[in-house]
Amino acid sequence: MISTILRRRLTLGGLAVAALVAIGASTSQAADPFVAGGRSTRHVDLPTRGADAAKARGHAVLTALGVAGARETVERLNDRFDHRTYDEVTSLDSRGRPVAITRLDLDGSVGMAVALGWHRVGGAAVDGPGAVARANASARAAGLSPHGRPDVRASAGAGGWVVSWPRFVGDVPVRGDGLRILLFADGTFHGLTRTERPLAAVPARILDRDAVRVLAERAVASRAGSRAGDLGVATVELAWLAPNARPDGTTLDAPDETLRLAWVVRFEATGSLADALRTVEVWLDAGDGHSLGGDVIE
Amino acid sequence: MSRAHWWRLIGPPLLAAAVLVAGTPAVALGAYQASIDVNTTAFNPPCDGDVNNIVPKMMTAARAAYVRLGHAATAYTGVDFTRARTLARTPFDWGYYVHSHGDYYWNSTDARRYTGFREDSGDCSQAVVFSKDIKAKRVGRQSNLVFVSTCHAADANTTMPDAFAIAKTKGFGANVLGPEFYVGYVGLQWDSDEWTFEQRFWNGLATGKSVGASFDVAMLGAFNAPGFDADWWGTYQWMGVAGPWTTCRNCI
Repeated sequence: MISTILRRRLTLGGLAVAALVAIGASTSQAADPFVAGGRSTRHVDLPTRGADAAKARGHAVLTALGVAGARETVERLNDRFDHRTYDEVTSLDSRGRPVAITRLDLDGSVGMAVALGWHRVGGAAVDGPGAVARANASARAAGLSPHGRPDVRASAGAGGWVVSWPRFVGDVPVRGDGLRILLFADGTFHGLTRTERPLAAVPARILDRDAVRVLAERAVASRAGSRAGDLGVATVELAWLAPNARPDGTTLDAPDETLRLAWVVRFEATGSLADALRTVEVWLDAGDGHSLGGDVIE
Repeated sequence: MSRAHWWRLIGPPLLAAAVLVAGTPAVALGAYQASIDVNTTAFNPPCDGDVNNIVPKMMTAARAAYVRLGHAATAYTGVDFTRARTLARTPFDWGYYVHSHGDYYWNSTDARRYTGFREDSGDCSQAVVFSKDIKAKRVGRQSNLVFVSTCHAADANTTMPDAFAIAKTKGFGANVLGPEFYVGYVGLQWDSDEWTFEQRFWNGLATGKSVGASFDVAMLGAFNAPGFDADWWGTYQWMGVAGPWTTCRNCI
C-alpha cells in the first residue's frame, strides 16, 4: 500500500545526521525499553539545521492539509512505545496556541498529522463515498499515495469518519499497519497516521490450522479449569501482529517492535463467563506455536 | 467558565467541610484525590482461561498519570475494588479511572438501563456499579479527569458522564466548561487497543499537551482493530491539572 509513497527527502547532510541520531536512539532503546507508568517519548538533541528543515517541512505538510498556523516549533523525540524516532512539529497560531501537529520520520515523510480542536459541522455532512474521496485528497496532499480498497467507518472520536487503507502481505492482514485518515463529519481533515513496521521472516513451515486450534484449546483449558467450557473457538486466522508477551510468558510493556506471523485463535465467551468478558484471542507463532501473547474484549 | 458551573467550584470545599464535621474518613485527607479502580480478577485464571498481562500495565500507567497531574492517586484492585468501596470513595474523588467490563446494564429496580461497570471483588461473581449509584454519592460535585476504560462508556447514550457532573458537550474555543474531561470507549474494544490509546493519551498529558490534544494524538495509534473508537466530553484546552481552575493558557 505504501510502497509507492512519495517520499520528500531532506538534504543529504540532514539525512546523514538523522541516520546517526537514529542509530544511537535505536541502540539506547533496546537497552532501555519502555516501562508502563513512564513517558513513552523522550527528547533527542536536534541540530539547528535539522530543526529548521523539519519546521519548514512540517509547515509545508500542514499547509497542504489546510491546517497550518503562523509559526512552528519542533522537538525530536524517541518514542519507545511506537519504536520510532521522529520530529514532532507543532504549529501555533498568532497567539501562540497550538493548532496542529505533525510527526515526520527522519527521512521527512509524514508519520502523523493532526488538526487540533473540535470542528462544529457548519456545512453539509459527507457520506461514506464522499469521505473516501476527501481522505484520498488529504493523503495526496501529505505526499502519500493510498492503494487498494479503503475501509470507511463512522467514528465519534474522529468527529465523523475514519478511512483506512490497511496493509496486507499477500492475503494476510498486518494488524495496525497502513494508512488511516480521520475526518470531521463535513469531510474536513482531522488526522492522519501511517504505520509500516518491520516484519520477521516468514517461518519455513506454517503450522496446520487444526493443530493450532488444538494447541490453543489445550492452553485455555489448562488455565480456565471448570470455566473452560464457556469459551468456544470462533475463528482461527493468520495475521501479522506485534507480540505483547515473550516466549517465556513474561509481559512486554510496549507491543514488540517486529511483527510476527501468527495464528490468531479467537474464543467467544458464553454462560456466566460472558458476564465478565466477551471475546478472547490467543496468539501463537505460526511456525512453532509458541505464545506471542493475546487479547481480550471485556 | 460558564455561569451555570460556578456553584460547582464552591461545592467541593463545602462538601469537604461537611465531611470534616461529620468525621473524616482516611481517604478524604489527600488533596485532589484520584482513585484508580482496576478489575484484574475477571480477566485472569480461574475467571478467564487466559492470563491478561495488559490490565496491570493500565493500572500502573493510570496511577502514574494522575500523580503527574497533581492528584493524590491510589490504585485499587481485587477485594479493594468493590462496589461498596468505590461508592464510599467517590464523593472525595477529583479524578477517577476505572478499567473493567462495562455495558449499558438493565437495572431491575428502576426498570431502565444505565451505563455501568463491574467491580473486581477478588472473585468471579462481580456486582455492577451503575452510573446512578455514583451520581447519588457525588451529588453534582466537580470532577477533573474521568477515564472510564470499559466498553460502551462513551456510547452516544452513555449515562456515565452525568454521574460525574460532566455534560455531554465538547467545549472548545470560547465554549469553556470547567476543569473537566471525560474519556471512554465506544462500543466493544480490545484491551490491546485500549492500552495503546491510553499510553498515547497519558504521554500527551505528560508532555504538556491539553486533554483534547492528547485525545486527538491518542486516536492516531496503530490499533489492531479497524473499528477502534473512543469519545470525550469536557474542555478540550484544559491541561488536566488537578483541582479547580487556576489558568487556562490556551483558552480564548
